[in-house]
Amino acid sequence: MLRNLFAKPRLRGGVHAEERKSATENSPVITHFPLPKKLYIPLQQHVGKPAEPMIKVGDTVLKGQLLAYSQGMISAPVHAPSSGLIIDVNDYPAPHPSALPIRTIVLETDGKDEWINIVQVDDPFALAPEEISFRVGAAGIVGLGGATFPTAVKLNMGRENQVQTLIINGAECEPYLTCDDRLMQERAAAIIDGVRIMLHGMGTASAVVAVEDNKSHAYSAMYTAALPYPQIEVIQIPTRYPMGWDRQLIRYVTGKEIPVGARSSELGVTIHNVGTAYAVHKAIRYGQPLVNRIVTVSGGAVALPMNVEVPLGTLINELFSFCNVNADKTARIIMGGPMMGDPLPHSALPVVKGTSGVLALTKDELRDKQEQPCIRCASCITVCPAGLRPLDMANNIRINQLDTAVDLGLKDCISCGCCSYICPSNIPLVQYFKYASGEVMARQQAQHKSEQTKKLMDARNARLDKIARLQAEEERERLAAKAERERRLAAEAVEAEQEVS
Amino acid sequence: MYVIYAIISLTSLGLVLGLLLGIASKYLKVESSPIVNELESLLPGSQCGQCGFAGCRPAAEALADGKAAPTLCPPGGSALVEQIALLLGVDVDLSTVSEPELLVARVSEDTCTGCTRCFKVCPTDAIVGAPKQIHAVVADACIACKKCVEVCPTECLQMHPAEVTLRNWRWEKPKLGFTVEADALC
Amino acid sequence: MIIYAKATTKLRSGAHIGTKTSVSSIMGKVMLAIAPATVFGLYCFGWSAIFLFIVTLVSALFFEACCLKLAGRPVKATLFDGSALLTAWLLAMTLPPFAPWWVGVVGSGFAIILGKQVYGGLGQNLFNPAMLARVALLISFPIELTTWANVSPLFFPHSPDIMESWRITFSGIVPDGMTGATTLGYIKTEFSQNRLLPDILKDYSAISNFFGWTRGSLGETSTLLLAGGGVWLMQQKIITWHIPVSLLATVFLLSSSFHLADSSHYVSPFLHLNSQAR
Repeated sequence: MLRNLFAKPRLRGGVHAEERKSATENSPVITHFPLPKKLYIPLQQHVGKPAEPMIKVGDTVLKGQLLAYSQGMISAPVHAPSSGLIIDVNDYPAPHPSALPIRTIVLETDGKDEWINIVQVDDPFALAPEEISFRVGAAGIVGLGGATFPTAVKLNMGRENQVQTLIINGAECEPYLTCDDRLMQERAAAIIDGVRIMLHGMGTASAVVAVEDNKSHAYSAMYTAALPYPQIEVIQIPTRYPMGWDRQLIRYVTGKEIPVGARSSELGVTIHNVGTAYAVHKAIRYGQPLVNRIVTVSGGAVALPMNVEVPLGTLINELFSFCNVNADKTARIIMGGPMMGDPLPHSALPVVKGTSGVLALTKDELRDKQEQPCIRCASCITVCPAGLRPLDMANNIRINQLDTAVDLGLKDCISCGCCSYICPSNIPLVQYFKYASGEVMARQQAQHKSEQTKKLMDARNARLDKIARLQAEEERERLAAKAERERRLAAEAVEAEQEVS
Repeated sequence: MYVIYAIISLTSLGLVLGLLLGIASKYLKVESSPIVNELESLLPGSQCGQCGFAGCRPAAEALADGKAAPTLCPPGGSALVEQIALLLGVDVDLSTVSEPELLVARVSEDTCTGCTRCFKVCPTDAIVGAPKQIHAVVADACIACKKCVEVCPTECLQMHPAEVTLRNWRWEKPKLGFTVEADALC
Repeated sequence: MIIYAKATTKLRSGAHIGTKTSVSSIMGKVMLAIAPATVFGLYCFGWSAIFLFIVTLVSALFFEACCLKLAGRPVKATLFDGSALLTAWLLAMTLPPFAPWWVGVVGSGFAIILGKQVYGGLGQNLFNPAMLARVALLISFPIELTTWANVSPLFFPHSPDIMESWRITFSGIVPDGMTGATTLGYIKTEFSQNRLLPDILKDYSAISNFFGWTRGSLGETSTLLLAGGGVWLMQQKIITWHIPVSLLATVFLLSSSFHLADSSHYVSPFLHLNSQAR
């Protein structure tokens, strides 16, 4: 007991954010979302290189057909979310705070929603593990918790590093979001099947499914579904944002702390989201690539908050009109959760693979008051899950001492938002850190450009010098040749004179 | 009475110690290594001349001698001013420094005659093209010194702001005392 | 190679939701925690204490407003955020109740101007401004800061009435017989008369000291009310237990070791905790 008293706590920092999930956690997922007329499918919905289109404008495609193939090691392909006609492959606004252009495929649906000829697999466990990763990659599956890292690459890394534990992340710690909760409640058997397939794909012996203790129904559903499989354990974890952060979860479940710079697979653990496991189940068992996902639409301005299964590429304004969102009351549109989600400038942007939720928040729900001076209360240090010192970093960034901020650990900040949440002075700490990271990178690029410029200028000067030198040599040779000729002429003239005389 | 003694003694102590510090700073000063090279490496190196000196090396020498202010280089922006001020150990007022608008030269293909005057003057060889053929600017190498714009006879070369893409978009620094109004449309 | 470029956005990042706690609410909670002890102290020491308290608070607000105006910061918005008020409140609690009004004004001025604004305003101070001012006052005006009033509660027959209290505070004349020493001060002077502890402490009542019926600073006589406020603050997560507990534990340990060694010359740790260690 004494050892327990002095043992390091298994949770670091974190806040008890208000959950605000009651609006959507008890209603089933809506699956009858009307098929949109046009789908806008960005070519990069994942971490890594964008996919390269292999169709052209005017092609007719079927649902699930490959539209763009992955490029390079870390990439993912893109498939058609419905059947129809390709009407454009061009730059359209990206679902990003800047709404800057991104290469997008625009698909006009024909209403038939016809699947391509898909091949079902009777026994996934007869497939080789490498085959499973390959099929997962070919299905375009990425981390559906929001990180969008290509799952096939992660499975391969897991297999190569021989991880012993697969942790399935059912935490869903962000307020408002309940898509994973409903998925676990309604499709637990499919998720467990996906977990088993992943275990087979990595050659790992056991899995742990972690569900936050505010989701008791989800927990019982998953527990019941996993009962026949003793290698899958379903546990409850405390509800505390950011429980779903992979390092926090790994530390809680296994007690291991992943050091900065190391990957979890190097320590024998890997994490996947429940949604990813579900997508793996659909891809391997039924051959269906990733073409739709469950999105939570919630917030004070939403008249009908719900979880709805939509095809990828659906514009958010269609989603909003389906859920009766009041445009006047909406103060901010957020893609993702309210702690880490990105604000969007308008709603004519598409739903992508990483969109776990879209929120339309009213002014009362937001926290947008004026920034006041830092009173050094150190609440931010208490809550930081990465063990950093937000107040010192922000105070240094404010006075433009970015190097000091980097030394304090700016690069390890995960932008979880716990510090901004708890700050009594309304200081937008995370924005300071995001700004500072961007600025540091920009300065490095500027430095790099300076060096490149010098090299280019030196090269140019060398080139000009060489040209000048060559010209000078030619000139000398020419002069020498001319002098030689003149000498010969003079000598011949002298000879001729001598002959005459 | 004691108060008078206290005031006199503390004041004289302060004066004596201050005098000692002044003497020490003059006679025990440590000479530091030449910082001209470090200053030069901070400057952009484009030799554009906007600082009023003949190039980046003379500007660095002037900075080291204290003949030029750290705010001398417009293309460097406030980041450069801070770095120079840090190196020189001087205080600088950043309110007068404006962020440079990052410019890139671009050839308007309709009006380019292929006269080749531009690439002969480009210090980084950022313009590619052959005589009588349309030239183009390699944006990555362009340092916005504007020499090409000056010599172009048809004014087809213009400076444009550098393109912001998803790859280089960054968050803005939060302004102290800012409020955010309802900032979205539906 | 990517070209270095910057774009601006009106949108804000970071957590979009947050707690309802603000600087004012924190200051408000601290004030609420020390309010019972203060009210008790004001009651115990009568009108002079009340006048001194008000003078200290008002002058602190005045100095804060002047400094904010000089610094070009918005006065209305930040004057009433609770920080200046709390500093003055804490300072007033540590002053002797019959101290003249100018002690309060000088103390507030020192605290706000030299203890807080000169460092850069809210959050930039190196030391606690109230305690800094108290120390400065103690070394500058030792006599005024060590004249401890007798317990003379409001409306009691032998307490000074409002006119007399006005004179005490605003003209600095304290009538005889109204002051005395605190417990520890009394013990110290009695030692010089070669009396021993058991003898000195005959009239000492631990209970009345615990409740606060004793001489001391304006707001720090009642151990009970102060401890209660501290516990409430810990529960509200405004402060953590580490600092108070370690401070009190150190006092306890050190005084116990001395007391156990020689109990006729060193008072018990509980007396310490009950008196100045409040």
